[in-house]
Amino acid sequence: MGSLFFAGLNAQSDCRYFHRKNCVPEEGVEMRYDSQSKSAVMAKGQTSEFHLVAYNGLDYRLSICSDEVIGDQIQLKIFEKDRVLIKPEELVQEEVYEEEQISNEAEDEYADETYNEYGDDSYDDSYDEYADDSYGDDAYADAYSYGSAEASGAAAKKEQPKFKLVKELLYDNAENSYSKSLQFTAEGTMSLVLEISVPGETSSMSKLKIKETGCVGVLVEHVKSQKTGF
Amino acid sequence: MRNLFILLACLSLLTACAEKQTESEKQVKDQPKETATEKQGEVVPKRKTFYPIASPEQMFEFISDNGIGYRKELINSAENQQAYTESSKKALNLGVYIADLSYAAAYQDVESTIELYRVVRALGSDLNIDEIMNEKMMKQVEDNLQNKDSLAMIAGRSYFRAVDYLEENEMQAKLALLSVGGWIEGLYISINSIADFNTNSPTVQRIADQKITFGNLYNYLKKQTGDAEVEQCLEDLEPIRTLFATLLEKKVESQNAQSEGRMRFGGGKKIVITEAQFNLLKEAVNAYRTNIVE
Repeated sequence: MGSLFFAGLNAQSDCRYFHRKNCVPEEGVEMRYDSQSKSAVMAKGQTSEFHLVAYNGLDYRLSICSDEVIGDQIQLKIFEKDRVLIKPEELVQEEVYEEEQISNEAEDEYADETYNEYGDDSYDDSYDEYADDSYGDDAYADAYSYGSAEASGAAAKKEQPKFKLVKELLYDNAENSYSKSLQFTAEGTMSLVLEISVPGETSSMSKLKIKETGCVGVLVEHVKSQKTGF
Repeated sequence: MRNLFILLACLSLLTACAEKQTESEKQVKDQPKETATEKQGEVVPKRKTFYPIASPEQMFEFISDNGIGYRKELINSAENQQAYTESSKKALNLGVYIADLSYAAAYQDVESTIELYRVVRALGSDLNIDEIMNEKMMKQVEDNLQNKDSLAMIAGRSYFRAVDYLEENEMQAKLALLSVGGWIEGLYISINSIADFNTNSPTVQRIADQKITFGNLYNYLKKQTGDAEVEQCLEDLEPIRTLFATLLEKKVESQNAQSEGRMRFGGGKKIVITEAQFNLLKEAVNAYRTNIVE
């Protein structure tokens, strides 16, 4: 009997194409399947993060679906992930994004001495009309430019720019009756984090003991944005 | 008519080879396989992270839609497959060939598509990914030789089958390498398909936007550190990473809005790439791709 139950659990856990078979988008514009779609086995109380790229010029549709055992109130939060330069004198007020391998020091994918978003080589305020002006003053650029760092050696290494990853909440379906579908357009290309949470026992622990699992699917579709107006 | 006969003859030969393998395939399938299935009572992290990287097919779909022409000479020669003996080379080049397959299918190069299906199947089999190209899929290829959309879809399935298989069998390192191979081939083909740099070109912009995709891919690779092959891959990717890091990110200042059930997310980025940066990136991509395929 135990082995039959276990076999049943295994059969449910083959979630590979779950999103293709079960996530039915709401009727609307016909869109193309986006290969960032994914299914996963999730346990009650567990959260999954999906790191996606939403390209400028495309309209997207997300559809969430799940096994019955998982329940109906799957929470979907969408965050934009961004790298922010830390000014030494600035107090950090925003929520800091903590991923397993990323600390508050310069440990993200571009954080080494060769990258300086605001250094002399890459920053040109003659055309960078969208840059945050608070980082654009010459004194700041001098202290943190790559050229200065290289010339000053070890002392300058301490002054090398440090970045933190922050995430800004763009959408929470809990404010929309746990809707399982969303259409959106990204203004500019965006690095998004989709956070899917399955309701279960809440705790502050970083691990949980599996009680029940089921499939959760995230179907992503896209279509070229329609230009409107003259 | 003669050409069609030749193609069908080739397919019959491939199908015959597939039938011979059926018995050994069955034996592999009957063996219990390691899966990532989580079991009741097991203690697991409360939070899981996934980095689904878009398949190469999507990049080719985009460049084709934007009027970029087909360049058959960019495809990795099928003959090179014989030289791949190390498992890391096989995994990387399986990604490369799957990307090439999607490329050939997207532009309806039937002859190359058939040849690349054979290569993908062989290399997949070398890596014990038996499901990458089964008999049913070969039959679908045969039935859809003149249907561009179907060919592209079948090509795309090879990628997903490989990804799913590697994930399910917890071969994360091999999956990472396959993803790198596929992504770099997509970028290589796209960047070398541009005759004249134009900052307003959607394809040039999409290439610049790969800075963000690369960021996710890099983070995914970093999660596999501990595997020597992935560590080597990370090292080999440094020049490309360095170049992407020099691309300026202009924030698009607009507010979030909602209308008629659709949201508009403000605050994305425009990745700026100059012609000089484009050429340097092209050099670095070409060098790394050569490293992979030769």
